[in-house]
Amino acid sequence: MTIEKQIREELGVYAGDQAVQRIEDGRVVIEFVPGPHRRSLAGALRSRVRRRPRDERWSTLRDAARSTPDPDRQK
Amino acid sequence: MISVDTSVVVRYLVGTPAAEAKRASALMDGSVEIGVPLVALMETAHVLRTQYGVERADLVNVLIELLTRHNVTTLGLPTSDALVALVNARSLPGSPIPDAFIAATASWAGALPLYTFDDDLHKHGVAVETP
Repeated sequence: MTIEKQIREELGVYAGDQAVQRIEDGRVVIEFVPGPHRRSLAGALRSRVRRRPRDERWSTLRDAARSTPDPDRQK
Repeated sequence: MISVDTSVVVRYLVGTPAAEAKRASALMDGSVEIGVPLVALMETAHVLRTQYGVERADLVNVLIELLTRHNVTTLGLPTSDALVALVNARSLPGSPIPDAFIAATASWAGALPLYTFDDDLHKHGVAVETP
């Protein structure tokens, strides 16, 4: 199976990308994961942090996390 | 290859506390091959969600970026299968991220069907049964 060049270019799909397929409503959905990169992710979530823990010592963070349920399980 | 735990990954992605984040970044951004245990990856997701309030979608996207870094690999599940789990998690907003990894691990191991009492696990595209 070949994805047409125009579609590849529009979606930014390149050789080495990983195709992940699934079925949705009787149709095949293909998502592409970009291939290996060298970008630094240092502080990548800095602007995405919605609350900063008062105490960021690792032992405190770890213990707090272990006593907090997964919010996605609460729904 | 070396390996890192949750604390290093969290410091690296969040960027604080500054001193530890700098040391974590020097390690992660170097050229040595780094293994991230699957449990550490799940714990990272949990700490970021519960302690830093990172939105699920942002979290999944940055974990995909983490696992596609040239020197990062997962331990306990092939990286390509971990990426499939994350992409599947992204396609199911609101679904717990660990569920995608349970399904991906069962599928990778060929250990199917996956027996569960969770009505939502079938959404991850694996054969499920109830005991």
